[in-house]
Amino acid sequence: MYLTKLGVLETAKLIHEKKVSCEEVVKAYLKNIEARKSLNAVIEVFEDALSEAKKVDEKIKNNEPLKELEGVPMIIKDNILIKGKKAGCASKFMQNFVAPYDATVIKKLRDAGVIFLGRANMDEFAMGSSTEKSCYGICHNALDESRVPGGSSGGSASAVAANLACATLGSDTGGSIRQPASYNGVYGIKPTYGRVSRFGLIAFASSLDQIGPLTKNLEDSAKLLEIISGKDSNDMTSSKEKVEDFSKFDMKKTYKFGICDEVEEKMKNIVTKPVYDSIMKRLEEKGCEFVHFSIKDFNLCLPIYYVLSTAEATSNLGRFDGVKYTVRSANAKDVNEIYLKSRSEGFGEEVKRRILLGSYVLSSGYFDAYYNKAKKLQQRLTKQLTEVFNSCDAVLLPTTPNVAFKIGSKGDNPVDMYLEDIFTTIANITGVPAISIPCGKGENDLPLGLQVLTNKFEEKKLYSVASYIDALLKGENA
Amino acid sequence: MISIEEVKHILTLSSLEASDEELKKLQKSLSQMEEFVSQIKNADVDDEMSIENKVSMNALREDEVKDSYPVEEILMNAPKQKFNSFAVPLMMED
Repeated sequence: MYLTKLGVLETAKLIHEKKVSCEEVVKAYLKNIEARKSLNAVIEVFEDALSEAKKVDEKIKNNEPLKELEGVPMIIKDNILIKGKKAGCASKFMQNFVAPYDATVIKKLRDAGVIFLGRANMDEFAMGSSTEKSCYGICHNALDESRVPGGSSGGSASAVAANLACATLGSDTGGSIRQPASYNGVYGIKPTYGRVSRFGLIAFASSLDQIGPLTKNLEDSAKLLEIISGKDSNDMTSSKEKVEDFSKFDMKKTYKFGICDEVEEKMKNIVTKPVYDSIMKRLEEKGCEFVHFSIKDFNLCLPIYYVLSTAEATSNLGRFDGVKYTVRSANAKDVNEIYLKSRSEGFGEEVKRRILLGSYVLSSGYFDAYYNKAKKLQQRLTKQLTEVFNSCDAVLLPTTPNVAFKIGSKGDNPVDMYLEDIFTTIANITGVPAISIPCGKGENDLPLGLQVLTNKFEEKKLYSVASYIDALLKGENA
Repeated sequence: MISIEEVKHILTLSSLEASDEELKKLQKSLSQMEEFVSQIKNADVDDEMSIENKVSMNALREDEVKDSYPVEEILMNAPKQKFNSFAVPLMMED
């Protein structure tokens, strides 16, 4: 069905020009969701989606003024609150939670006319890189169901690739939007920390979490980010920085790209290296220059990330106690047992491990060696990376070392899964924006992603550079 | 390697409990995780640096009195509620 192949802007245009009704669009997506049920990307379809679509058609019929994205259907990750709908972080502990208010991003999308189709599957509490750890069951890659869709926003990425919505929202703490986007051949951005309000996003690691769109094309990504960005009085870490017109790409003839020596060193042993080499060659042929730089601490990004994120998670997940909104253990006899048993029965294995590691790195005797050290390294890394942008427009690096892996192929050691984020955590630790764009094919013709990073709050430049590369790869400006 | 005693200690700090069998599994996986993050222990950092979070932090808002969310909506998600409050078992006798 051609309708569901279209992105956000194309769909809005068709509906607004009365070439297709909103009901037809929503019905087409609902049909796709049903047909691709085996993906397990969507954990709930909202009953009111069709009636919302009919309301839009009514407005169009009456020639009422339409909002920019009036009638565009989207699917939302299960950790972002939509008033009156369930939001459970794919955790059995939170399975009964109904959102009492809209997240700021949802309010903004609603104000732009977006229709919410349903909730996307994810790793429990956004902790994972494969969406195998959800209480709703394993989610599958849209392009090869024997493989993982990546994670934690696996459902959001798989849903976009399988055309189950015009676009989706995900959240990215260490790569959770970009890695699944790469594995499913779609576009995913982690904005600058502070660009998008986190109000109504169930927190994992508050100083690293950002919400971002996953889309079928770059224009949609830029437009959606434009809409959801901005200062919010409900999130004191949201920035007052001006939200520019990200979707008006301002392409230069050539660019100067930064390449990290430590990434190149890692690439030597990676089978997908030829794909990235060929992109560099094509950029060079266009007249682009490359600046090589070294960040010695690059190899420490993952350990730094796991110290900081688990420390924050331990604190953030303290609120899930079987009293206020999570399931209460039937075996608890007193208040202390309510906490102990509800949490022990409610949280999944990986979530518990991370809470425990977080408590460990924060505990007396270890705080200086781990948390304090990681904070200092984060500061140094941020200083080093932001300085790199004085001598180049953007930094390029792969999103993942390889294509999506087979379901169940990661062993018992939790660290095996952590290595998935080897190229993505640097953007979260340093706060800079990073986008993953599809850049070629690896093993079994499966997609690979290229990350483009710019300095903080340079999303406009980021999109311009990304669209330059995207057009080159598609052969549009050759 | 994290000892069983240490695992028990951090379980307490985390308000979690584990059976003897789970304890052994946790000891193994937490030791693997600890070994992984311990790479940063040897990194040389300037002791002068503060640990203050330098990621963009904006000014706090004015402390104004505003309407809060309706109590009944917030209580809607509580596993048990009574007298317009979250309900827990009795903590103290009269």
